[in-house]
Amino acid sequence: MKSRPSATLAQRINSTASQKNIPLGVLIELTYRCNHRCYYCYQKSFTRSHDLSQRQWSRILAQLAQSGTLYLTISGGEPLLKKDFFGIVEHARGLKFGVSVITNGSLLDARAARRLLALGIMDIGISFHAASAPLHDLLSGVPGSFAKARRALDFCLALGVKTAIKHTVSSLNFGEFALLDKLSRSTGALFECDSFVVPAQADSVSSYALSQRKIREFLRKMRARPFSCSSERDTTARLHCDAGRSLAGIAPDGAVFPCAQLRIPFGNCASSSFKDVWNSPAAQKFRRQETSLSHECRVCSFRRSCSRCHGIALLESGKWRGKSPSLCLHAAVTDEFAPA
Amino acid sequence: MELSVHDRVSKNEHIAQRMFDDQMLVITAKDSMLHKLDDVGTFIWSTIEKSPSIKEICELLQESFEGFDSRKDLSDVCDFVETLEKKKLVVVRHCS
Ligand code: SF4
Ligand code: SF4
Repeated sequence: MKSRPSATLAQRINSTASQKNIPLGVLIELTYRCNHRCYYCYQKSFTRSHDLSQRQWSRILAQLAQSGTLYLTISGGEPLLKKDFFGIVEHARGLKFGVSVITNGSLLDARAARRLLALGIMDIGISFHAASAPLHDLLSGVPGSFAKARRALDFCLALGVKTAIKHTVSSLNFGEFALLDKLSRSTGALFECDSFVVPAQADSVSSYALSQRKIREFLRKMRARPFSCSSERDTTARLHCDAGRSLAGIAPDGAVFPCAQLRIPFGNCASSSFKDVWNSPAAQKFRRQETSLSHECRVCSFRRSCSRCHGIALLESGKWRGKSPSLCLHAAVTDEFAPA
Repeated sequence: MELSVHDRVSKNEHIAQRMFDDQMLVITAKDSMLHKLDDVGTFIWSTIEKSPSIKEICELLQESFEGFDSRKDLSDVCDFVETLEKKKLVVVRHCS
């Protein structure tokens, strides 16, 4: 998801965190509510969400700080829809987390951007479906949403906040990545781009997933790996990740997962302490199982090119340790670009 | 500007920090740069909580680290604080 400066130190820290199961990076979803209706969204309801209160989040954040969490990503739904949003960010900064926010930008006006800057947040990611209004608005389902996202980007950059354009490449917006990449370079924003589309329904591939030809074109143009997440990947095998070890995800109701993308419940930290949930039998079982992936992945000839993600495998096939159509397709195409 | 023993040191309020594996990790929000402090650095960092003077930091070091000599090792402490300042982890208030 993001490349951090001083990579070698970050890698060393991450590998220690992974070995010791220290949840160094946690993504919290404050709400599932959203004011956009993005075409690919897997959210079942945009209006109903069982959200924890600010008091409950304050308690959880204190426990995360105690458990060693340094990087805190605040996401949703649309996190700025939560009325306690700024209170929660303020509390998080008081506990000295390095805070990142992911938003659709619709509510990020100049005042909000200045508040976030004053709170010392680390970075903001703003979602863009396209580089111009007609397509972006069509795909977000909200007229005027591009103008607001663009305005939010400008406010943040003008204030000197590190800001990323976040983009998911799909069959509906193919080609926009090149324009958004250009926009990022002309504005000084970072560009974070994924070519995996999370399926909206379990055990299926997203109907907006890229074809083999488009994945090839995307890789050729971007000279990039198709997917990167916040996890520092195991460079020798590339099949494992740090979900559930140095990474965790927490849902709006307090449910804890190994990663926001990987919905295997460890427990709920609204009713138990985070530490108990993090060390629960479910979490321990996950970590034990994570060491042995499916036979097909272990013997796969594309493994060197596979950006394997347990979360995508779970969503597409129901088996998080196994193969999945998108992962295998991306790996096969990526392998064409690998040195002989 | 050269540091004096009376200068007061406080943390840049826009940093993130966490004790990690017995050592302090600090990030500067502006550039997301990650820094790791060693044992003595971690100790000094913990003393900065109350905006001490350099002299006070030396006194605390002398109390806690055998062999630390406030006068002999003063320049090392100043160098360290200067490095922290250069990396924008702390702010130094010059006092005479
Ligand atoms: S390409 Fe498919 S089978 Fe091979 S390692 Fe990746 S997910 Fe497993
Ligand atoms: S499950 Fe996927 S998104 Fe989550 S840490 Fe692993 S590779 Fe990254």
